[in-house]
Parts: sequence; C-alpha cells; structure tokens
Amino acid sequence: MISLDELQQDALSEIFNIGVGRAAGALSQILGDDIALSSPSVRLMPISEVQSLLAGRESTHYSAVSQQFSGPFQAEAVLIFPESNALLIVTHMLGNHLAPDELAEYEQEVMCEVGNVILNACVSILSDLFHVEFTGGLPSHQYHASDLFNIQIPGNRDHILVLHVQMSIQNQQIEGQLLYLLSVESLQLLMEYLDRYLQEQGLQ
Amino acid sequence: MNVKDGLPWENQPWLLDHLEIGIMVLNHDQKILLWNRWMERHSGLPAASVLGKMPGQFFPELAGSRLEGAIGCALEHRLASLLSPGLNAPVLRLYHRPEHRHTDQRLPQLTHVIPIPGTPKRCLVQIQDVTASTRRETLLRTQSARLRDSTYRDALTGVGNRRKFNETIAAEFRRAIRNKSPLGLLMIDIDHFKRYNDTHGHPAGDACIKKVSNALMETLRDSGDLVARYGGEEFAVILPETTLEAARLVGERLRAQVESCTQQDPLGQVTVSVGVASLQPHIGTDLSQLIAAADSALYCAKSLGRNRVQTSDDAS
Repeated sequence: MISLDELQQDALSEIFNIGVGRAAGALSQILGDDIALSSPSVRLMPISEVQSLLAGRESTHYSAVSQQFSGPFQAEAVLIFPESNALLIVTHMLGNHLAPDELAEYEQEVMCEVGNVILNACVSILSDLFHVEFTGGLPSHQYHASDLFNIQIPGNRDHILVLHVQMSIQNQQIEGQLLYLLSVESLQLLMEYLDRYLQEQGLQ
Repeated sequence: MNVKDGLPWENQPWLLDHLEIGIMVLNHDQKILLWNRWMERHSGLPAASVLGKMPGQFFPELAGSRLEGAIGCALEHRLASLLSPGLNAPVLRLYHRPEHRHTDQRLPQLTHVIPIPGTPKRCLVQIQDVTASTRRETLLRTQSARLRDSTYRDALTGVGNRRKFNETIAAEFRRAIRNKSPLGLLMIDIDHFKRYNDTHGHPAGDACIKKVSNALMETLRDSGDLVARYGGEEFAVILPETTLEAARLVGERLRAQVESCTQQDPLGQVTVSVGVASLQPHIGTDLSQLIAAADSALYCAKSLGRNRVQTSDDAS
C-alpha cells in the first residue's frame, strides 16, 4: 500500500483547495448567490476503508456524479453526496417554488452539472500546476446504496484519493466526498508529478 | 475516430446538416469553424456570415456567462461541460420559431461543450432544443396543481371540502400553539334542510346549499379565514387569531347575511344556526376539544329555536 507523507498530503490539500475555490466561483455564478466550499482534507485510502466510511454514516443512499479523465494518468473522479444533501443542493439551485417530488425529478440534471463544475475545477488545477493535459468526459449521475464500491470499481483501481468537501449555501452545511479512483500505476504517476511540483517550488 | 490532420467532420457534411441539434465548432482562438444547418435555421444567421468570427459577436450575452467559461475550459484544459436548462438561462439567441425573435423568446437550451481530440485545440458546442420537454413539464405541473386543488375542493359549492378542513384546522391549531394565539371555529348548519329538500326536491336542495355557501364566501373577506363544507348541509369556518367574542360577531354577520339574501327567495327563506368556539391551545391540548365545543354550541343554537348564534360559553 502506497501512502502519502505529510508534505505530500499538505501539498495535495493546498492544490485541491485552489481547485475547489474555482468551483465555488462557478457555482456562485449559477446560483447568483455566494456558495462557499471549505478547503478539503485529503486522504489516501484503500477501497475497504472508503466503504466503511460511507457505510458508517447516517445516509444509506447516495447521489453520485462521475467523470472519466485521461491524460498522463487515468482517473475516474466521483463526487458523492448523501441523498438528503443532494436534494438540499437541488432546492437551493432551483429555488423553493417546486414541490418535493418535482425536486427529485430534477436531481439528476442538477447534480450532473454541479458535479461537472466541481470535478472539472479539481482536475484543471492539476493540469495547470503539473503542466500536463487531461481530457475529461461528460458527467454521469447515479444513485447508490452505500456498498457502491463492490460493484463499481474495476480490477486494479484499489487506491482512492478521498477529498472531504463541505459546501455552504445560505448558511446551510452540505457535506460530500470527492473520490479519485486510481490504479497503482496512476497513483505512482500522480505522486511523481507531485514530487516534481514540490521540487519546482523548492519544497523538496 | 481518426483525427490526425483533417477535421473529424470533413466527410460528413450531409450528416451534420441533417442533425436535429445545433453544432458549432470553435477553433483554439474561439473562432467559428463549423455551423450546421440547424444553427442557421434557429439563429437566422447563414454559415457564410459567421465562419471565422467569434460567437460573442452574434450572441452578446455570451460575455461573462458560464457557457463562455465552459468553452474556455474545453479549449484550455480539454474538459467537457454540461449546461442544463434548469440552471442556465438561454444565453444563445436561438429561436424555436422565427416569430419568437420579435419577442426574444429563446428556445430552452441543453448545451454540451466537448473538447475535440487532436491539435490545435478545438471544441464542439452541441445545443439541444428542449422546448418539447419543457412544455411537457409545464403542462404536467399545471395538471398536478389542478388535481391537487380539486382534491381539496367541494365539487358542488367550490369551497374547501372535509379533507381541506381537516388539514387546515390541524395546521392552524399547531400555528396557534406556536404563536400563543386564539383559534376560532364556527359550525354552521342550514335550518330545516331535510324539510326543504323533501318539499322542493334535491336539485333545489343543492341550489340552496350553493346559495348559503356563496353568502358565507361573500361575507368573509379575510383571506386567512377558510370556509369548508363539513357535511351534507353543514359548513365550518376556521378563523385564525380570533377570540370567542370576535368569532361570535363573524358568526352573527354570516347568519344575518344568509337571512337577508334569501328573504325574497320564491322557494322560501333560508336560515342557518351557528355554533361558535374559540380556544387558545397549548402543547397537549387536543384539537377535538375545539371541534366538540363548536359542535355543542351549534346543537344549543338548534335547540334554542334555530336562526341564531350560540357560543360555547352559552352552551356549557
């Protein structure tokens, strides 16, 4: 199992913090109101731990948006919100004039777009700082029970970079997880780019 | 898809022009490389007039929009974006029908911005007209609102039905507990209705019920008050933030209105008896207390000779 040292962990948190800031700007533009995204905490986990992280929470159902990225390394990025939090986002985005059943109707559409904005921002920051290029596909939305990873992850994607994000819209706190599903090779490549970046910055 | 040097769409001009979606391809410098026939049709701009120019020239609202950001993201970072009609106002001046141009009624747009592989960087902007599904959504929403409305309305009189009464009184009761305010309730029954019905027949009976409900509606002007048909010839009026005395005055006004508006009626005058109750509920107070109090006041009004208003105080 590969692990992150303290410097790497701090650096990744810092990098994604910039990405998340970009996303907050774009989301505020959609909403026409301020959306704050807290600086994410970054952890590297094996799949089993992510599973118990999700299973240990109150929610049993999750709203997930995923996007494929390819470039110097491949990743699938998944943004996961507990179902109830996803509905809160939808409510804020569309306004309060819709009945609850109508809100659920729009969930896929809204979550796809919100996820798209956040995931793109968090990947574009990697390409900017690492001077590399990724190609990103379109987002897709799914509902999951908390055991999603039993079905979801193909073969060797056994490392998951987990970003815990907190969103605050009009004083309401919404929590979600951003997962980067990486193969061993991809993860090693990510670490190489990270180390190179740290050297450039004179930090390593 | 092989995109080494040539452009990936070069061999399919027919295909592009027969797609029922808008296709715009932008070069790395954001200049238009391709504009299919759908775009011509819905923008009113022929391809020849837009190729080599930037879309912002024809679509001024693009400046500073999220679509502009998405195009930048695709050209700069090769990342795809999706812009849904629910979250994004239609930025592009595209119209479902030419006449909509005059009123600037733009078609609702679902837009995908997709980077095109290869160098130089280019991106595909794909626009779907979602007018049909938007219209369907609106229609369904109107229908469900109408349906919801009709499940709460009495078919004969148009006032609230028993279900509406039950839900409203429960909600007002909770509100009265929260606000520590009194809640008034009137129970109104048409006098000698059975005799009226037997003498003049059911259609006249229905007409009588309508007359009374109209009189009640006309007299009650406060939007916070609710008239509901409680049973066959019985109505209930919910009066939020109303004390017993104030509720008694409302009841008296209603009784007098029914009496006077049916004075000239060829089938004979109609009168009502009114039971009045008001309660300032606390946590633990049972809603049925209020209803029972209004009911027994009504019973009292009946037994004291009808066409009169009795309060729960008089009844006890």
